[in-house]
Amino acid sequence: MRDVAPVAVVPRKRRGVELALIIFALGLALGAYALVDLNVTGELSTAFPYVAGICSLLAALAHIAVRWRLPYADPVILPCVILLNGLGLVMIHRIDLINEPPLNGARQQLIWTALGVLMFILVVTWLNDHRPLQGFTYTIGLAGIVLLLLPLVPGLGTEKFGAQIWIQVGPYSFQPAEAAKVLLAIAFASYLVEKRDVLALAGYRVLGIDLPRARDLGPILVMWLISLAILVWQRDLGTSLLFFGLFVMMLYVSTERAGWAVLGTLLFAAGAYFGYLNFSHVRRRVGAWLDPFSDFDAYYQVIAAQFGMAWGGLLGTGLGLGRPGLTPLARSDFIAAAIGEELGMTGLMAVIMIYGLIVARGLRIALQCREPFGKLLATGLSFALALQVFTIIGGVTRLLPLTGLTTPFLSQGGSSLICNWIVAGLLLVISHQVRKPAATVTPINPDVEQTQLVKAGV
Amino acid sequence: MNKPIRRVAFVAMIMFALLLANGTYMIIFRQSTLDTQPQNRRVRDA
Repeated sequence: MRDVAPVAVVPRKRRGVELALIIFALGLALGAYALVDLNVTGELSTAFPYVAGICSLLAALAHIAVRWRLPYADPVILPCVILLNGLGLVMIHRIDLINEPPLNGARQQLIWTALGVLMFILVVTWLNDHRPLQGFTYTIGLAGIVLLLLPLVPGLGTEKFGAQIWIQVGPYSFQPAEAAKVLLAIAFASYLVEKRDVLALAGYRVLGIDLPRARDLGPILVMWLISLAILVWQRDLGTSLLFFGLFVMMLYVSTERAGWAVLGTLLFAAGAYFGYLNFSHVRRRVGAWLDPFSDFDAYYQVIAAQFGMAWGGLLGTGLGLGRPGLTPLARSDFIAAAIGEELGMTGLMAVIMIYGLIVARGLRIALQCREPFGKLLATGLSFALALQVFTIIGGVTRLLPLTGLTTPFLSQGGSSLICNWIVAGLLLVISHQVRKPAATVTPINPDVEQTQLVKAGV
Repeated sequence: MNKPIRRVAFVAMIMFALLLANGTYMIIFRQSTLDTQPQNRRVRDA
């Protein structure tokens, strides 16, 4: 018999590609930063070399961490994240310059970016493998639900802009839903991998759809009630949609039963309709979406964003040459409108496509992954990002009613930025575990390992 | 689990396509009316 050497497929590491893309992303972001300075004040600010240095250092550190600990990770996600974060920094700097004297929002955001990159590096170097997370299903899940409901604790939660999704500790405010998103995605993934066989048992067949057994409806009803609680007491349709959508999608993927998706969509529609009937803030959001010009003062923010994007048109006014300051909250919730105004609809669509690239890469990792936990976690994280981008950018451009979600990596705010860097880190960790070559063992050939016979009595 | 993941990917694709289509719709059909609104301070001051 002829010996056939086992074929080991070793994927290319692609770290050089990642470095080139990072340099491209940094060039774009820093060029835009310089352009803002030149267009608004006519000269580069004295802080520019420091900003450029710090951004380059942070990008280099993130890249080195990936090169060192995750050599087989996906090469596209990190540059996309750096570009989005850089663009967010640029827009916040641009809005800082509207005020006289300029505000320090960009400096604050740079500090948050540094913390985000630090968390990314910790995930990459210290966690390095997502599978041990499966051992802490209930701890992580409980922590996630507590964080999600924390803003409802009297004295701790504070109401900002009509939604009670913030907690205030001393001078620091924090949006716990962002951290809860990461924790619950991990918890759902490991819970569902464990329970999917039980949940997939078909109960009743109604109109060609397999519905689950009544006793298995527990978890979906609990998540539905929590989402409803967020809608009712935290008054935020977006957060509630994000979590319920995430859960239903993961339930569907793990059990492969379309009945869950149908049931979940119906339950959410019922909840949203209930909210519309009973709460004035939900009705106001829907009013601003359907017919903003019916009440100019009440719907001023949505209208101002529309005016900005219309004025920017297809190609935009140019960085630093528009008037994004006329839209309230342009640096956080409405940063997509500021981008639409200054970089034009083309620029906004480019930003949407960068998000699309990250989501596509994440789902690709999920398809390639060979164990169910990594598959489900990668799908959950990518889909949550897609849903969040869809909800907030759709809200700003009047595709959907406006909600209080943050624009990932772009809008000002530490909790969101840090948590999204952790999501990026987790996706890279999974992709490295998927793509790295399996450890091979040299097969033992018994014919070669002969026992030596030693003649007796010599 | 690959079949449902493909479907989820398809849903994500539709969401992104809707965002892009809405942007296009806004520039083609809404832009001119928005730019002629008397309340539009950007156009009024320009």
